[in-house]
Formats: sequence, C-alpha cells, structure tokens
Amino acid sequence: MARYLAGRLLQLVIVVLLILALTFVIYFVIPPVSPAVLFAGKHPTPQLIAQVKENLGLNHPIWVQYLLFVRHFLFGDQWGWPGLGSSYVTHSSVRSLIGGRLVITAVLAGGAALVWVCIGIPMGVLSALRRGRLFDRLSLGLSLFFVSAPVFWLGVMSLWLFWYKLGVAPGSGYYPPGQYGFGAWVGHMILPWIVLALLYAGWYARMSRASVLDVLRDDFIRTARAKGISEWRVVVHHVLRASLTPLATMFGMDLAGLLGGTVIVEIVFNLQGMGQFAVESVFSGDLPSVLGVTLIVAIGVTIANVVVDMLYATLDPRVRLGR
Amino acid sequence: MSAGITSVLAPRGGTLELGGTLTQQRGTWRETRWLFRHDRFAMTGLALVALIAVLAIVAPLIALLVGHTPNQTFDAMVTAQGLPRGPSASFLFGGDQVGRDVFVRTIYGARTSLTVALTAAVVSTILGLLIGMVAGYYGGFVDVVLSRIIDVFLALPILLFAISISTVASVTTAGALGGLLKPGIGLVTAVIAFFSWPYLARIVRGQVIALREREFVQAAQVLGAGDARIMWHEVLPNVISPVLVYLTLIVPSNVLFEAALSYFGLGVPESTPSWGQMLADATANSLFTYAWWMMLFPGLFLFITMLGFNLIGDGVRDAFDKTSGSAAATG
Repeated sequence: MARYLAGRLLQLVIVVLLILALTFVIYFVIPPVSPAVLFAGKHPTPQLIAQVKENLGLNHPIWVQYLLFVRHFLFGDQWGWPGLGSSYVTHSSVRSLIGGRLVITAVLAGGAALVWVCIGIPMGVLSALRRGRLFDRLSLGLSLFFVSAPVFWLGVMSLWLFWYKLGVAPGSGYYPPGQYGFGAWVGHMILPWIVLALLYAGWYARMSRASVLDVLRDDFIRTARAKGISEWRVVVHHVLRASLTPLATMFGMDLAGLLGGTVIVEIVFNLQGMGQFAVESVFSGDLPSVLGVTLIVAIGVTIANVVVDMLYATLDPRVRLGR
Repeated sequence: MSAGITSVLAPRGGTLELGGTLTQQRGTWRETRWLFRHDRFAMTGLALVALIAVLAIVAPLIALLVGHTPNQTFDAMVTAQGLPRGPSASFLFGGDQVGRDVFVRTIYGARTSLTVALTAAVVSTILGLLIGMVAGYYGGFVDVVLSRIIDVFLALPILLFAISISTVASVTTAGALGGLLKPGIGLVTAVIAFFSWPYLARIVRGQVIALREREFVQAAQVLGAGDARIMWHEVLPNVISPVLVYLTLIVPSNVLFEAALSYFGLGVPESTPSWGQMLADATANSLFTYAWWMMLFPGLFLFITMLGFNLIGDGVRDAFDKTSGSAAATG
C-alpha cells in the first residue's frame, strides 16, 4: 500500500508539473500581444510597458519566466501559498480573488451533486428492478431528455418558465445566507442546482440501471436467492453494494470536474463563482486570474483521481492495489 | 500474405481463401448491423439526424424559397422600441434583435453545428487512435510518457481552456503563433478536437495492450511484418468497435461544445449563424423574457440533434454489447 501510495504521489507531481507547463505555454507563449501591454492599461507608453515588463519579470528569457512561475506556484509568492500572482485588471492577488468565489462554486456543485444522486440513482435502480415495465420506459425517456437538453438552454428556459411566467422561483443572482437569510439563499439556488443536476441525473440513472442489471445476472445473486432470503434483502445487501461501487468512483471524478464545469450555469444564473470569474477574466485579458482558476481546477481533478482510486480499493475488496 | 493467415485467428470476421474461392467468415459485423437496424429507437435517432442533415444541406434552397438570407436585416421585424417581432406567416420563427429571420438562421445553424461536430470528431478519433495505438503497442517508456500526457488532458477544465485558447487567438485578426491559430470555424473545430482525443486514446491503449499478446499479432510478427503494418492490418480492425462506440458519444458532446463556445461568443464568427450564438443573443439583456421564440427554436433544434445522436449511440452500444461477449465493445 505504501509503495503504491508513493508511486501515485510521484505520478501526481509529474502531472502537476505538466499541467503547469501547458498552462504556461497557453497563456504566456501563444498570445500574440505581450501581457505587459495588457497590464499597462488603456494608454500604454513604451516607458510604461518597459516598466511593467521589469516588474512582472517578462524581460527574462522564457525558460526563466517558466521556472519563476513554477517556483511561485509550488513555494508561494508575496501573497502566500499557492503563489498565483496578481490580477492584471484589479492588481490584487489572484489567491484572494479566487477564494470567495470557490465557496459559491462549491455550494453550487455540492447542492447539484446531492440532487442528481437523489434523483438519478433511485431512478436507475428502480428502473432495472422493473425492467421493461412502464416505470422503466418513462425513466429511460426522461433520462434521455436530461442528457440531450443543453444546460444553457435548460437554464434559460427554466428561468423564463418558473421565474418570469409562473413566478414560483426567484430570479438569478447569489444571495449569501449570512446576509439575506437561509430562505432567500436556498430559493435562489434551487433552479441552478436542479438545472446543473439534470444532465448528471440522466447519466447516473442510465449507469446505475446498466450496473444493477449486470449484477442481477451474477452467480452470487442466484446463490443469495437460493438461500431463501427475502428479495428486499437480496437487493439492498447484495445487488446495491456490488452495483453502486463503480458509481462511487464516477461520482468523485464528476464532482471534481464540476469545479470547472459550472461555468455555464454560473453565467446563466449570474452566480459569482469561479467559472464566471474565469470567463470575465478571459474577456478582460486578465491572464493570471484565468491561469489561477485553470490550475486550481486541474490540480483538484488530479488529486480527486488519486483519492477516488484509493476509495475504490477500500469499497470493493475485489480490487487490489499495486498489482 | 500474412493478412490471409492471421485474419483466420482474428476474433472479428474477415475473408478466407479456400481452394481458390473467397469465403466470407461469419463475422459478428452482420449481426451487429442487423441488431442496429431492428432497434426502433436507434432508427428514430437516425431519422432525426437525417432530417437535420438534410435541412443543413438544403439551407440555401430554403433561404431562396423564403426569400430571406441569414444575415439580411428586416426593419419590419423590429418594433419602434427596438424589440424583435414574433412569428408570422413569412417569418415562421419570428425575428431577432436586429430583425433577422430566426427560421433561416436556425436552419443555417444546422450547417455550422454538424460541420464542426463531425469534423472535430474525425480529427479527434484519428488523434486518439494514433496515440492510443502507439502507447499500447510499444509500451515501456513511450507508454509512460503518452499516458501521463493523457492524464494531464483528462484533468484539464476543458471548457475553460477552450475559451482561453479561442480568446488568445482572437486578440488580433492575424491570429496567434504566426497565423497558425486564426479565429474562425477552423479554430473552433481544432480546439474541440484537441481536447476530446484523450478519452479515446486511453480506451484504445487498453485494448491494444491486450491485443499485443494475441496469437494473430504474434503470428504477424513471426512472419516479419513491420510495426506499422501490424498496427494497420492486425490491431486497427480489432479496435474498430470501441472507436465506433466512442464516436457515438463524442459527436453529441461536440455539438454541445460548439454551441457552448459560440454561446460565449468564441465560436464561429458573428456572420455564421450558430445555435449557441442565437441562444446567447436571446439571453443578452434577458431578451428571452419577451422574445421567447429567439430561445425556443434554436434550442429545440439543438435538442433534436442531441437526442438523435444519443439515440443512435444507444443503439450502437446495445448492438455491440449483444454481439461481443468480451470487453471489446465496452472498453
């Protein structure tokens, strides 16, 4: 186990370094205009640009810039750890800019995850147990609708219907619970949670249906039934345990992926999360901010990958680590 | 010569020469096709996609018939207050914020969507196949390097990256990297393809590692076939089924990807109608609360396209699952 862990950690470090290299290339090598021009504001003079280049370290050769970039990220800069530099637009530290927005994105992702697990998995499991019946057909149709409807369309349509036409849901925007109370907070989050969750609910319903059907064919289920235990016990103790384990790993990856996957919902519902921040920064040419978000998400996903692998091994005794 | 001998040992069908007559080995391909063709849902999906494709092809004809071009503005479709007017007999889907015909634009949107989605799917399939096969076939150091690169790509926030690449390439019209990345339909396709190959590469790699040890590959090696020839003649035909399954997953995902990029104004140029862009127009200033048609129709077409491809995908996966007992279809 220890050897496996060390191996995975080494892999993790290599992947993080590669991610740093790739993001660096995209944001500092590809752009046709020097970042210093963007940083210098609306009326750049040659002197100002030269000054900015000096301050940002852009007058060094590209590989020195890369090493500086890696050093700041790994060991922190004057704003603390991880060193993500300062925004070209507001000139404040990217770390502090991202901090507050991470919470909103986490609230959105976490709530949506709860919704899709509560909808998707029961739907899929029941569907498999009632294979071919009316419920199965309905749920298959519904999940097909969920995975086919684009999130930005669903978001705008639901705002139009539930907020504008029916008036049962409040409009867009984020209302922090501390400031506006718990009710307003939940009220404004319900639509975003559901809209974000439906796509995943569709996939989870289909996955858990297939998974349960698979397990139902297994020998150990026949054995369990032959022992004469109740069908309920067979389903809960044998079928569910074996069929939902693969979904657990999927869940971990999806949740981590949502860090960067909530962009559209945040924009449609005007929530000031990381995704919206990244898109705004892209349009204002604020490279360090985009880079910061990208790095945090990519590394988050990579770490989740490792955690999920370990979790899988503890959940499913059939999987052996470090084979 | 080696192909004749080795394909007898290959799991999926092929031809066999027996006493001068060519005999078709009873492969599972025919069975797979039969299953797919008798799947009502898959056929419905095929019909939906065919409908959208036909509309995309005859779009100029429809524009001629209606008498409106996609970028023509009609003053009559905008009220004195500057609001678009709704559907009428000559403007079936109403007008947009500058008085263009939403119907004609929606039909033209099908062209953009299908062109980008299919081209990107083909490019990313070739990339994924190549990288996956090389990693799986050679193993060792090559595999380690390629696998880590695949890991990195799988961890990236794809949409964010795509948005930033499109942006940095669009800073000047001359593009970035000495004109290599230029804004436009080609860039959108390239960006989508660039971020969607790793998933396939990983699946193909796994398959090839298993195939490498099979008798028919070893037979070809013993007969002195080169690596390229083995990969092309022996390995490739046996990874076709996971590739087809992947294609059915990636095409709808690309349709959505293009729409999302265009939704952010980073997809195809303003003059090319795209569903994502039209939906963004409807969202801007909450215009949809009044002009519901601007949001409903492009969205509906997008939804129908997605539904069609998803139905086809389900059919293909089911057909492969039933015909191959092994892991070949599930990856």
